[in-house]
Amino acid sequence: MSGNGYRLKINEPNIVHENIDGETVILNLDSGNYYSIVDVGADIWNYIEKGAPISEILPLIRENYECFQGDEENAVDSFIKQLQQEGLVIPIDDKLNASLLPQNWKEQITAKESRAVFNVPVLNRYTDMQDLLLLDPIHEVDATGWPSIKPLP
Amino acid sequence: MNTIKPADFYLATPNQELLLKAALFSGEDALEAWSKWRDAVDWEGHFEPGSFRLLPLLYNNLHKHGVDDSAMGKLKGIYRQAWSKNQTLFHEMAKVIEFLQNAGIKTMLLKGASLSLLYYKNNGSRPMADIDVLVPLKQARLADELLQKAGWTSPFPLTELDLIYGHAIQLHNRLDKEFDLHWRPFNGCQDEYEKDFWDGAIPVKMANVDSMSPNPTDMLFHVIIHGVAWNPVPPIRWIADAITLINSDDFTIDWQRLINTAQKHHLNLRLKKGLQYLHDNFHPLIPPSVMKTIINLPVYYLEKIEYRFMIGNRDNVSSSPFAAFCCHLCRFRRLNTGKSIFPVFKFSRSLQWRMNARNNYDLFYKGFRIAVNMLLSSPFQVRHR
Repeated sequence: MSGNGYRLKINEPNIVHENIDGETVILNLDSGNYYSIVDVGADIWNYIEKGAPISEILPLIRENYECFQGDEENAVDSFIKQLQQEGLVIPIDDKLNASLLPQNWKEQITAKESRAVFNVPVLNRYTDMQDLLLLDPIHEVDATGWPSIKPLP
Repeated sequence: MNTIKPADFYLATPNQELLLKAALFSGEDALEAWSKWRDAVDWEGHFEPGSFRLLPLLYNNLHKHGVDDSAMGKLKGIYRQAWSKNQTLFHEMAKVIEFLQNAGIKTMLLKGASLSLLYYKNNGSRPMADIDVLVPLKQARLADELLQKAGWTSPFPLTELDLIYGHAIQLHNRLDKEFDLHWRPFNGCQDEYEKDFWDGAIPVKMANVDSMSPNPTDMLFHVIIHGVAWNPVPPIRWIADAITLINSDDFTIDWQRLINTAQKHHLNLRLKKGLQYLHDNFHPLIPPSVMKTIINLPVYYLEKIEYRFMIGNRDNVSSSPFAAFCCHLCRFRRLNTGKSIFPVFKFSRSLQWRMNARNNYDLFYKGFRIAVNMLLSSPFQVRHR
């Protein structure tokens, strides 16, 4: 990753997102891809949205999760790269744009009451959005709900 | 007191009312309604579409109440899907709004889009099939021409009579996207009252594009007069829309404006029926003095006729041409309110428009065919407007 002040931002307006009960769902309106992230991944997304510099994300994760294996740095780094590759977040290089981001990001991030075990963040991607939107979300999905299709018997 | 008896019709079945309460109420009332509704519904069977549309709102409310239930996974999925569909729709339609506005045409988002963006403040709770865009009556012709050039077409080209007697046209493009272009906020809205909607409008942003929305009072009026009507898909979501508007912490209903609007448009009866139904079943925050005033509003004879046909089941096709005629007569009368003499010639022209007749002879011929078909219980299909 880049230097200390290096930041990313959500690639709006073509990327829309919402946190639904701890899960962050993301829609790329240009490609039609749908993404879902939970736990560590949802927190990283939240930190980026709040304007935290990239260099601060790993310390925040270490502060909020029990990291035993020491591979959290690679996992977080790789996850952020994946977000960039999918075009979900874009870098902010120049100072002018960076100044438009919230400067009080620390105040907007609340520490977790208890530390959960660190799990490698996963970006779940669903690419056939047009078909998914036509799915019957009661009868054609599994117990976790749309967009997880019920396995064939 | 001139009381209304909601029992003379139903606006929601008992099960639908349980679902509405589970989706709208707070605390024990919501949880009790949820428990009863969950036990009554067949999750594996066919889901009645009016209720299905309320499931994202139900999820939202149950989640707020911390409900832990095996059905929550599927409900959350329904919410996710509704959110994704709405976002896709907003993204597509924002381009149309921007296109019209760049051409100097004002736009207003009616119904679902504004309700979702402004009043529900949640992009997943209020699913919608399409977007309704209102343009000023004077700019409707231009808007239609520009949209046609941009690939938005209708099987029925917009005519001058459409502009005089109609209120909206459905447009679609090559990608099978569709939306409704309105030039009147609702069917039968008089030209001189159209500006009331525009004067009172408030800003709304859809996918980063600025547009306008009816203010909460006009929106409530719109929701009620559209809701208190028969629909092939039971339109029970109007109840959720109305309760959301009335109980909003961020917006206030101007009750006097609501009453004045209903009186101007001769829609007292539908407003009464709707509000009394809400008052009796969902206890929204309507001041008692307002309720009393609304209940005592005078009702015109034509309103009663129109209402009778508006709530009648149109599945009974043999009665539909007669119902359509009565509704047309009432809307025509509303469009011409204030004129002392009934404009017979204009009415004949409006009927020609309504029935796609080329002239008076064709109108007479089509009318005769409908009458014969009604007698034979094999009705002539009239074009739906």
